[in-house]
Amino acid sequence: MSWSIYLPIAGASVNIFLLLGLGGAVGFLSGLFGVGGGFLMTPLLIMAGIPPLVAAASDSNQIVAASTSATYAHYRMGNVDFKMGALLLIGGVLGGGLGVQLIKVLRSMGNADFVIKITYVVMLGVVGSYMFMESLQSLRKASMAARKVETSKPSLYVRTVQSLPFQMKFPKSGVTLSIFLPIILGIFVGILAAIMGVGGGFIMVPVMVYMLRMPMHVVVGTSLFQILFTCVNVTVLQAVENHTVDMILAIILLLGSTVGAQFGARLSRRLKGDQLKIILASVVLLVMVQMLVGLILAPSVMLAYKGGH
Amino acid sequence: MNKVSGVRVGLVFILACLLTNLAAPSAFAASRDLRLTPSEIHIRETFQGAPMSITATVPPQSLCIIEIKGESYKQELLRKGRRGGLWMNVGEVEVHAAPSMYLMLTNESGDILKKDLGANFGYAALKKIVRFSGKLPKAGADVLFEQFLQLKESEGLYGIFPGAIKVNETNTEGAKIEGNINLPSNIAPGTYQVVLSVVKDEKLLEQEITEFTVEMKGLPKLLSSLAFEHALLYGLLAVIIAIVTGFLMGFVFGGKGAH
Repeated sequence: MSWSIYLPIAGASVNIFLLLGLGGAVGFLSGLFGVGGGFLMTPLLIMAGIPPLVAAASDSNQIVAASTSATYAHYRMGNVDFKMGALLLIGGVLGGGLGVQLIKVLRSMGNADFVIKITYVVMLGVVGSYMFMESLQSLRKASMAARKVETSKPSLYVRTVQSLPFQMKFPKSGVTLSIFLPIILGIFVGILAAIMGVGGGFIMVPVMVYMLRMPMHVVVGTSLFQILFTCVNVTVLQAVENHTVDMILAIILLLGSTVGAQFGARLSRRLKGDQLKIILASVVLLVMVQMLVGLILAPSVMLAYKGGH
Repeated sequence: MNKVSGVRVGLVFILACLLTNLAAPSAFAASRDLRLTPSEIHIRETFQGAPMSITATVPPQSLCIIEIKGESYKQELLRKGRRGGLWMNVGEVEVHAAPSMYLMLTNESGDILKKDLGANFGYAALKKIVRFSGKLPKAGADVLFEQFLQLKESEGLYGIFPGAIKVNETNTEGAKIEGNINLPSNIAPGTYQVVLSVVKDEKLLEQEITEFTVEMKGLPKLLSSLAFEHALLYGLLAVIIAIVTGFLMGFVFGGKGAH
């Protein structure tokens, strides 16, 4: 018996178990770290023979399911800060619009791809390395006393943040911040996400941890909440503008990813924040190395179809 | 009167003979029974490509070339190159007049393209019709054409298969040939042309053309028409299915006692 299924929009036949496995693995990471997983799933789908545009659009569709499932799981655990998520979302939408315009300018200058690839490698490298080093140090210290000393002496950044106007309490995250900060950071992540063509979860998570000083478990739930809205928007737009959402592909992936996301969310609760950060940092660095190798080694085929990441 | 009528009949006969000769370049009219099995390909839920058998009767000891050609359309591609020591997309190119699929089968295991006649078949013939526009490489369109073939061959949409046509039986009517090919699963719906060319003594003896269609049926057809004809509805449906499934999974797993 054949276990392959025909994907009408992708125009290709793919093994069901391969798709379920991919969905499960990426969904697991999504639930664990609060990232959409687009930066992992899309290249894997392209490797499985799915056209790049269809891979990116259908991936957004399945992220809607995975992030719904994981957001719901995190909501039940009390890990979603809806107020913070909404402000970041406003910023993300504004930043996404700006990023799309920036890409248009870069494309007209003919250097868009160079900027995108370099941004990708630099961002992944910086975020991954910083998170890895910081988490390693925290794990080594592992003493609450040391942390108390740290919190008793607020840094210049914390003092600057505290001096900003329109301070608002975010009880779920346990922080008090100016409402401008999450909006501005949302814009920054939105611009980067638009340039890089991803949901931006792997940038948003470190931003929430280090810039907004939110606890890691709330970061994961809140990031997923924001990703859900971003991907709903992308899925509808891709379906209307480009006709590139393959519903069958998305359904098979989401069957795997929603189950994987549940296991990821459960494991995330069992692990310490620093442990989570160090694993995410390792995944981010691995993707960065893979991307760097792809940039250095000559490709086997010198032409590619337009579209995708 | 009878004399005039006889002349007319004679002229008509000569004209008919001339027309017949124009239609078929040789008196050895063969391959009248070019057949495809199946003659229609249906893409259903479990479609994984389709085997196709092409049969015909041709003059004995002749070279047979079967070409399967898809419809031509404009294709937009990205060309890779090196910038600052790194490999990346360096420009967009448009490919014109290239068939969506090109497969060629012959009954000779050798490379027929080495012969003069080869220029009319295979990639050499494609090279004459395919055009490129956009950001072409400095090395020229020839390099781009080679890269284009490489891309299409990697997808299984282009290919040259020498020796893929077998001669099954030779009798007084001619040689019965059969070519077998597996059409790839990424074959696009549309009409495909199958051209059988019979060559003998370095001359094109005869050419016969037939067609087959590739059509979506069942769920693939339903989803494809929904995606292209009712795109907004399709997009919303995709999102609703995803959200409902996500919630259901969350509920099912949550009910089992997540902490």
